[in-house]
Amino acid sequence: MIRFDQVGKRYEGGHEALADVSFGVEAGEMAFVTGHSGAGKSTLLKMLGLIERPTHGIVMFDGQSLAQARTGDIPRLRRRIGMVFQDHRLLMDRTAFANVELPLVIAGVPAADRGKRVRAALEKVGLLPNEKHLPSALSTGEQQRLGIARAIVGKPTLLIADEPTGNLDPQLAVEIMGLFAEFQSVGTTVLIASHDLMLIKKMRKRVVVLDHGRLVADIPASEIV
Amino acid sequence: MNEAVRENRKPVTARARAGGFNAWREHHGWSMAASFRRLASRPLGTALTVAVMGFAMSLPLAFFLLLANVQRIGDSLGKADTISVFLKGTLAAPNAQQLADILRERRDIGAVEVVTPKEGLDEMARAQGFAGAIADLDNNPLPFVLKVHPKPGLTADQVGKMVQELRDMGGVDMVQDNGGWRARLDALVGVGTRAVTVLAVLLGIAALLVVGNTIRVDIQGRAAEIGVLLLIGASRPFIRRPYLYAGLWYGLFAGILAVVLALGLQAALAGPVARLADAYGGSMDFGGLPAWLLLAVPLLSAFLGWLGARLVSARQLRKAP
Ligand SMILES: Nc1ncnc2c1ncn2[C@@H]1O[C@H](COP(=O)(O)OP(=O)(O)O)[C@@H](O)[C@H]1O
Ligand SMILES: [Mg+2]
Repeated sequence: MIRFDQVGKRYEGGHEALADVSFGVEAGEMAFVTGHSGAGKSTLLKMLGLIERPTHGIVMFDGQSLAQARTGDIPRLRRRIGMVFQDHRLLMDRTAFANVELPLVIAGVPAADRGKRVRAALEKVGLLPNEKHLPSALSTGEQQRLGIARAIVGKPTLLIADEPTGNLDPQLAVEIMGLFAEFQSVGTTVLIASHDLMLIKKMRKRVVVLDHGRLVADIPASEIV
Repeated sequence: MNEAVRENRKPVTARARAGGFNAWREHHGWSMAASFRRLASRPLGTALTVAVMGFAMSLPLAFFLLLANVQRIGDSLGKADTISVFLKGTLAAPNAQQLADILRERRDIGAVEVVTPKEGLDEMARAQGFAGAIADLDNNPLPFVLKVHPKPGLTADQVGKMVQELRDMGGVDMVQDNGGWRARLDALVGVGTRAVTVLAVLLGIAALLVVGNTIRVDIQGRAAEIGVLLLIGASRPFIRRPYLYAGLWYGLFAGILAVVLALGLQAALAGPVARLADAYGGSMDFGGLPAWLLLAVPLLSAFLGWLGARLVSARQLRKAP
């Protein structure tokens, strides 16, 4: 599903955020990317979302080289990837329903089918009773769950999340991670960046460790204790 | 590898195309409704933009209305190219016909109509509401009148010379030439029409700028939202569409407002203009704005709004990440 091949990223100004990173994620797999602050986790995820481009190497997604994607192809590629952000990036002036509906509108799903799918997604994250609320009326945990509903409503093949629990207390964090595990169990590929080692250990999934932009460890789920 | 990529892409593209039209329709329906809701959620700001644009566009309409009616007043008072030759009261019908025939011989005269005293009296009764007073008259005080139409294309000098010659003819009491003041009025209306046209173009540009600036500020205020939309896979045309529709709505509402204002002015002017025409002895109906114009103004205005939104959104969205 995902293949990083000797990927390097040097930001303008010369800072080398990633160097010689190679690893792959199979379809239906769930993996964590971890490492200290500034290790390059966000940079790595941004390449999958075509927010940044590698300066070296190749990033493959679903059999396609992202380096070859033209600017005009980016929106279509992003629709196949669900993205969750630490600061959830919700549209604050629209209801929970309208926020989750957006990806379907963008994909051109007819209005008649949208309602059903939006409610199914809200149901999955436990926010169906809040569909008419504005994000500001939701708690931090609920806002993050709403961001997840928006990411999965379009049935993406890949779900990526950058520090999705960064703003949450430990109990809420476990709840959110459990939600991601559920999406994996129904076939979605999931890749999560997090520096919260305790939490990652609890999840018992594969862990990729970055250190100053280099991949220093790739621990399979079976070896997490 | 390239082969594999191409194989992989084909079905996706084909599917996208099959659903392309439906998706396009879906997008437009959503953008139209979304932009409308957005405008409705800021009623004061929307009303202000619409008002500024609507007032700007009602101005040329108002001037157009005034000019059209000045023209009509002029028309009701006589055609520029008609010279009325009043014959001496002692002249009888055969003499009048004889004189008319002589005039028709002239190379600088086209048609000559003979108006009998009876016809003159009837016309007066009809046009100026003197029916009562006229009915009281024992006998008809009016003379025969010849309505002389000069050949088209004569210069003012040639017409002036002709009028002089008509005055000097035997049997002619008085010659009334409308040409002088009509020519001046027509020239004035011509200048006014040109001025209104220029004003309309300038105010059209102003309307375009008003909408453009409103949309520009709106896009600036929604930079974060645009960033999010890009991240969840929205194309630039998709992001831009609600702003184009917003421009269209602004324009349409402003155009309707302009028409309503102009119709209000029309209603207010109808009475006084009719009285003015009466006072000058003409008879005319007040000339309202033509239906095509009432329809064209909102459409043109909607187009201007859309164009203004289009111009700024192209620039503003290029700046987005
Ligand atoms: N847009 C950028 N321009 C320049 N340097 C950047 C940019 N984004 C990140 N960096 C640098 O790249 C390194 C990796 O950043 P990041 O991927 O955000 O790390 P992490 O998410 O693991 O904290 C950091 O040293 C950071 O300062
Ligand atoms: Mg980060």
